[in-house]
Amino acid sequence: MKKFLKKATTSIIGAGLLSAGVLLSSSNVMASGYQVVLQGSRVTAMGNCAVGFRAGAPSLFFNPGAMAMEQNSSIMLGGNIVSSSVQYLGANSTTIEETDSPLSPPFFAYGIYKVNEKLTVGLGVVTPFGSTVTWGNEWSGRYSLNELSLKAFVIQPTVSYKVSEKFGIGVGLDIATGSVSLERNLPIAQAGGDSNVLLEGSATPAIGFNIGAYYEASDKVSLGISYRSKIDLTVEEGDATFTVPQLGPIQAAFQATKFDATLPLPSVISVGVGIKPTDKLQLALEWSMTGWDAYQELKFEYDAPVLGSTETVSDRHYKNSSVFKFGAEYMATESLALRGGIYYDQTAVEDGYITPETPDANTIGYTLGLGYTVGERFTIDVHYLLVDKAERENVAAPNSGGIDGTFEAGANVFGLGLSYKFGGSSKASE
Amino acid sequence: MKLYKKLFSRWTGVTMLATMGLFACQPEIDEPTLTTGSADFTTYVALGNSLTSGYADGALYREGQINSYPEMLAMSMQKLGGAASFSTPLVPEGNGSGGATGKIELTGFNEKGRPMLTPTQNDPSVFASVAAGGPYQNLGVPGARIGNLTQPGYGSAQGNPFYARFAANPDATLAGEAKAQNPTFFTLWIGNNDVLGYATSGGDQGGDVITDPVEFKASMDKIMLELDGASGGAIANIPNILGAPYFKAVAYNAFEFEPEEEALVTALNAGLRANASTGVRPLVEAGVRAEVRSQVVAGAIETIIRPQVLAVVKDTVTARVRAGAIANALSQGATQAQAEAGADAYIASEEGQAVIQSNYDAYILTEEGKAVIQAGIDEALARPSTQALIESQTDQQMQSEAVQAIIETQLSNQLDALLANLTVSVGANPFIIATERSAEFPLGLRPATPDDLILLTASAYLGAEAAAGRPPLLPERFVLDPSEQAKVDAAVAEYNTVLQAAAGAKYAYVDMNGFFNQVLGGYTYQGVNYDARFILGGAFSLDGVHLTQRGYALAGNEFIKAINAKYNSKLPWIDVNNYKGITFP
Repeated sequence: MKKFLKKATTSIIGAGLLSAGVLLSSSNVMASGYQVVLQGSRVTAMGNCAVGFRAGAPSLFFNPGAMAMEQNSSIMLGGNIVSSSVQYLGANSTTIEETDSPLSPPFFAYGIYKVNEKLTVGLGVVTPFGSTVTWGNEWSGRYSLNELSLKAFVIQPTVSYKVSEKFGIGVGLDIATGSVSLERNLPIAQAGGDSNVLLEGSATPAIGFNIGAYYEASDKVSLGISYRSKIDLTVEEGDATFTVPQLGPIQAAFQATKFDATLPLPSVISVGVGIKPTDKLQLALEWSMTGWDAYQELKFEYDAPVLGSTETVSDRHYKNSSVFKFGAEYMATESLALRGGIYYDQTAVEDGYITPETPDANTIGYTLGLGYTVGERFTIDVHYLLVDKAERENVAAPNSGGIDGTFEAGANVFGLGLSYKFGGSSKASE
Repeated sequence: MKLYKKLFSRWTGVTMLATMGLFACQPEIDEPTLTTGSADFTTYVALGNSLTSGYADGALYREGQINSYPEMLAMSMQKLGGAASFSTPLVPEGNGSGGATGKIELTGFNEKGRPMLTPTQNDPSVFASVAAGGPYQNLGVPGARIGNLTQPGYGSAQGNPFYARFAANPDATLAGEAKAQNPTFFTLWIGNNDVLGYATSGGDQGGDVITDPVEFKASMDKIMLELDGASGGAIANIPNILGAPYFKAVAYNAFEFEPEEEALVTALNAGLRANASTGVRPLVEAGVRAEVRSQVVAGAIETIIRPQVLAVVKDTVTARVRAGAIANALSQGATQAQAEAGADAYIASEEGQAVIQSNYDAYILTEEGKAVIQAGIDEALARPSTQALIESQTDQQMQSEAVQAIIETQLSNQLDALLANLTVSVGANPFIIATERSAEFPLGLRPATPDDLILLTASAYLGAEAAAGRPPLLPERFVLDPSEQAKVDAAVAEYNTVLQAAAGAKYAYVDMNGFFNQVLGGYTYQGVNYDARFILGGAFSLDGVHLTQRGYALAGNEFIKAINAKYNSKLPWIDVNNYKGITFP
């Protein structure tokens, strides 16, 4: 009668655990991924446009080609406070549930050094992700997710070369690393509550590159194009902790203590145009496409069998997605800039593949900001971004690990950047 | 000052204010609009059996009742302003009762990985009357068959104690109590017990009967008459009960022995063989004895009787020849004395002997001669003394080593043949079922086949038998063979036809049968997987036949789906994850 429980426990968890970690779902809510641009205050305020005009120090990260156009060495430091929330209404339910996520603080830091007229080098440190989605362990989707916490870090040394007065090219090396923590309940109830699993791990540093070209067609029109390569972030020997009843057959089904997982940080290609109808007004239009096609499934590999198998796979089937952005900056006075913008971000997530950690939908972002320069060297920029994701219904595809219901997500982002210009020209970089 | 002014110019102020205002922007999902459609949920009553009462884990207990599907449906209706007062006749807090014991608990798993299920102590206070707290809207009664719902006296002391404890009066009927409340909406889930009793007691050997479909329809008509006043309702059909873990959990070959139990295996096989031997040996011995005896008889005939008989025949022939010789001599004028002497001399002579011999040889070939010889042999055999001799010779022969060896060989071969598929070995074996002796199963034993269903209670029974030192043979009442299964399946199909017809155009028809089949194949809802496995499937409770709270919630949602489809209502679904599945120790 041993076969009673031998392979048995398999389906009690079944597909649930297969979705066990949407490990690094980088389009998660706000302040993550490449769709939401929080690595520079001015660029955030201008509808997230950053490629087609002289964006200043953040050009290091967004268009290394434009970095060569900088007339001064400078340093910049800044950060954001992101307050995000997701609401969920189960299919056919009347109870609306909501995340209770902590504020997250993505930051950025740049140092640009103008070696000579032609050559500029720089180093940037940014956090493309830095968010936590907290649903808790009592909501109806707790077997899908309790909490997912992602942190990532990119260090980018960059070199940029001014080929001519109008044309610059640049390349940077992206060194990315990160960590993840994911927790969800397992539907094996004990007297004290549900069982759960906690997966935690750090990614080994991985390399990518970032290239860009910038061309000033005239005084009024500039063009930029940039490409950031895909980076596969791999967590090796992450810790898997299963809290399950102390019963022989059940413990035997959860023997793993370590896991490996890989997540692609997709490539991004951006094309931007800058237009200056007047000296005081800078307009920017931009299109980006993120290669989410690279994320078709999420696979976990365990060091010992979990529910009879050492690997669990859940489908993702993401598709490439585009963002269309528009931004404007108006110099109200010589020192004060007023900024605003709007963008439309297509979702990468196909119908049926929404999960509690990536409740993604088509998004509209509204941005506002201002910048004030003191004494021509020191600038303070502040920005605000409202991320409005459409309400979206999910009928979970088999093996996706998601749940049925309607999701709506949104975020408020408030932040600032401080920069200081050294030597060189006395005019503020435009 | 200048700096301050620049920083906080009116532009800046306005922008910041706008920003803080926007900061309050949060996503907001539109609340769904609920409606009752064309249904009226003002007064809701639920009729049914144990599934309706919330019975689970082998007992009716308070926590199960509070989380019964009618209570869940009522909560859903209350969100639409209906079912304002919905009450279930609750038992006191505690282990509840299934009649003999309280609810079953999972206390753990033994070293072999088998679940250890322990019934708790019975709580007789379950049957104390709560009639005074009525009228009740949850009229589910464990054990109720369709005919019971309109049977006066079912709630009396001679009826069903699960009803007697809350019946309005001893002559009340469940359908009548429903009608008396003027329900605007009802749910009815009945008919399982009409076939379940037969199935769970092992079929034909169990002593329970399947309700005749004609009676079933008549009873259903009576119920519909009582409920005619309700403008809406939902009638659920009967699932394929044989898919429940009670019937499926124990595989036909779950009769397993570990390598360490080799001794048990040998002992069992030896025991079976010894047992079979006691029955078969006499038959073998009788057969061998018959063979031996016929050989002894043949031998006796050849060595003793026939020669004796032939001698007599020869004497007869000799006498005839002598008589002929005497007659001859007399005819030639000899005296009697001379004739006799002459005849004696003649028959003693060579010539005489030759004549006698040839006469004899001819005679024994004639029909008459053969008949005489045979008669002689038969007569000799029939003599008691001869029989006695034959018997004693046979007895002697039987005792000889050679014959004993033959007996043992034949016995062994016979046993080998009979026990061919009744021999157990280490690993999985089909259960050995004690059945009626027949030409097909001369030992009164048969191996279980993959088409047999073994009841959940078989394991406990075999354990008890083993503990008592008796061989682990399974009586037929723990097995549902294909013919019994066919009867169950046929009954379910026929009942469902009646139920669907009764729902007709007026009431919603809930296809529980279809839904259970889905669950059997694996069903996921809100991130939890369900199937029909015992304990681990999450849908069936510890008695293998009733549902867990989550199982009842899923069933409740099936009711809601059908009701919403029929009456264009939007009853909110039950949040299944708010309820319990199996709780592990």
